[in-house]
Amino acid sequence: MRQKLLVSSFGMLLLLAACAPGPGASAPDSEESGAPQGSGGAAAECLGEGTVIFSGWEAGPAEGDLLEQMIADFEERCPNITVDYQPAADYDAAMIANFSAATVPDTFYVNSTRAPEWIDEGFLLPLDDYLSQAGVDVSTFYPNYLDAFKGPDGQIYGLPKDASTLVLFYNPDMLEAAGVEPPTNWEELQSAAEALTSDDVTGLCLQTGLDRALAFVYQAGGSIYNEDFTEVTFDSPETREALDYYLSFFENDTGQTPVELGSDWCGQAFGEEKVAMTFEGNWLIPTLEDTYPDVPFEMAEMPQGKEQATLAFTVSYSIGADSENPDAGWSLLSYLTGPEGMETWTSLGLALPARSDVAVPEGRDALIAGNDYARPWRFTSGFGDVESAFNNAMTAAVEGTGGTDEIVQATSEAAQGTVE
Amino acid sequence: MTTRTEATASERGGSLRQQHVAEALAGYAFVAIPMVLFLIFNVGAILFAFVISVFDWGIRAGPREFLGFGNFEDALANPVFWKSVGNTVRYTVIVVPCQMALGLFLAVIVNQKIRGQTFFRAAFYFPAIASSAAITVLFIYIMQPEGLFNSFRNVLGPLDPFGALGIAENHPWLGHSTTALESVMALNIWTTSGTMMLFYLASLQTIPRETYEAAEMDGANAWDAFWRITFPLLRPGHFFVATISVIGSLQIFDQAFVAGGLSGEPNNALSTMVLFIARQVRENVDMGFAAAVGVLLFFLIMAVTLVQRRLFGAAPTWY
Repeated sequence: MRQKLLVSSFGMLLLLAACAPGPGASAPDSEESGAPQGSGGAAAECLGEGTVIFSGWEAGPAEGDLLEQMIADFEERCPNITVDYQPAADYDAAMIANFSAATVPDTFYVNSTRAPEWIDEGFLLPLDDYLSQAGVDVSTFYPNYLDAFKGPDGQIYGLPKDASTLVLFYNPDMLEAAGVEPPTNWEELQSAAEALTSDDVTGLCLQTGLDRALAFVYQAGGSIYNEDFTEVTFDSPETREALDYYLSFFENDTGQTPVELGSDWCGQAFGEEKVAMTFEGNWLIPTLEDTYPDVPFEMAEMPQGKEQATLAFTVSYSIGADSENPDAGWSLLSYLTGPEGMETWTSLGLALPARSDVAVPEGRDALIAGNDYARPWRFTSGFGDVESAFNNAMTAAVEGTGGTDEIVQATSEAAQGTVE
Repeated sequence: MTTRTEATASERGGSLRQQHVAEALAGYAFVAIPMVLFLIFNVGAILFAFVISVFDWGIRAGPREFLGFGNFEDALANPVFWKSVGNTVRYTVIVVPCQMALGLFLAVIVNQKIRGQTFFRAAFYFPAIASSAAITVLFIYIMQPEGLFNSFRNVLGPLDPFGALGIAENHPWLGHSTTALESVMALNIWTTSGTMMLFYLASLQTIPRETYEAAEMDGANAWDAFWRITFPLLRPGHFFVATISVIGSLQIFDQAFVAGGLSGEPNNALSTMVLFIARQVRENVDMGFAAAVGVLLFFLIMAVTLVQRRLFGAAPTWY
């Protein structure tokens, strides 16, 4: 049944490809003229026509406004394409259901952690043909972010829509009152957390998640996998050193988890002034500005261990392998990830650009500095098990029923299952 | 005269038979619609899951490789699978008796001729109507370190039984692996007791009043009447409630998902079998493995139900 569906949809694609002018067929005149044409006619980057179904997870009010503006700008540029924006709640589950029914949006978000599975399962359309025909210079994207959406075949399956690294957020008033400078290395972080911890305030909010602790593992020189994800390298003296260091904050009560602090996440604990420092990304800034406008905050690069390292989180725009209108989907994708679209998207500072030719909103230096040494939050198929094994073992360790050994063992075991 | 009567009788008989056939046809036609849907979407889906479970099955690509019992072997070798099974069984063993006892207790109470009977029935049933996700979110707030529950414990002071057990006064009930599952148990016992009460109430109505009158003549008090008449005569009710409750408990998902997320935080304390299945699909997109775990859950539920039949006798008869 599904086979048949597949065959028939593939046939449809072929038909479409045969009937419609192929990618780039309408391009020549405008390419010669160089500049994109105005709203009078379809510009060079307007491939395809009709309706593009565009999906992602639900956006906040300010993000929604920006999205609407980007869509309006795009429709003005490509008058023969209409965008049908259909955000989904519980996005991953909704998309899995879509993929299995082979009725997918044309252009949609892909979280970098989901990329390996979604590429391996054949959910996403490789973009290399479109990229070469449109002559897109992918080197303007930060390589850390672009690589997150490369498949094992070397093809690109998505272009990053925005990105953020992890940095140290600190409350300058609290630091000043305690007479501490923003920490720049592990020792300073430890002494700062100690100095900042009092009866009312904890020095540091630390999440039990691998998506924070891994930055410290990298800083110590450890890793989960070797470069091509064929071997598990987690059990090393470097990893153990990092985990011992991470756990030491809980042991001497200079660090607490959001659960212990009674907050949903560390960003909230920071906004509620329960802690003086925490590690988050650009996403915390709008929360602080909107919900906790009176709480002062500043950012610094992640404190250094043996190496300078941080994590980078990114999301792509991709096209579904079963998309009914991939050409128009590509037009939208290339506009959104292009310099204009990305400039609109990042203009309010709700997100940071993933390409180096878009201006960065003010006051984001620490976040941008990380782009040079950040490692992408993207691994291999089945990584959900590894993350979950780590998180659970870390929670147990914080509760006092385990430690570095148990974390290393559980994580390595789970990771082993993903390389076989 | 005789001929006429015979003629009418045979005439009537014929039309009766025809009527029977027509009635039966109409009956089958009405049953056919839900039956076809049931066969396709329940039985068909279950059988299809058995097929998927022996393959490496891509959600878009379909079957990739025949694995035989490979997925089952992987599941049985997975520590988180066993943790999830353990949690699910522990949850069931504690929740089912509590649900049944509380449901029966409430049913017997609201079955009395008391003032405001209807109000109490509605009030006890109310938590069962509310969305489980909404109630769980509320429950999360109540059980937070500085939530209502801990504040209440602070008011009790030295009388607080949990304090005596060494539980800190700002204990994160759902955030700590020693109490997360127990908290969800308490939540579920509370929210489903109303439904169990309703089933028991229906069952209570079937006990003939004369039995009680006879017992009263013999000098039995209310306590004796309950244990010697009500409780044993409720046997079909027990079977029904126990089956519903066990199946519901083995399939526990929504409360655990809302409270602990897909990874069963903290420390897999809220990892249940269904949550484990959901995680395999949503995070790992591993349909074959997920189906294999589903098949194992199917056999677990079937085995438990068969054991229950043994305990409570044959299928319940309602009279």
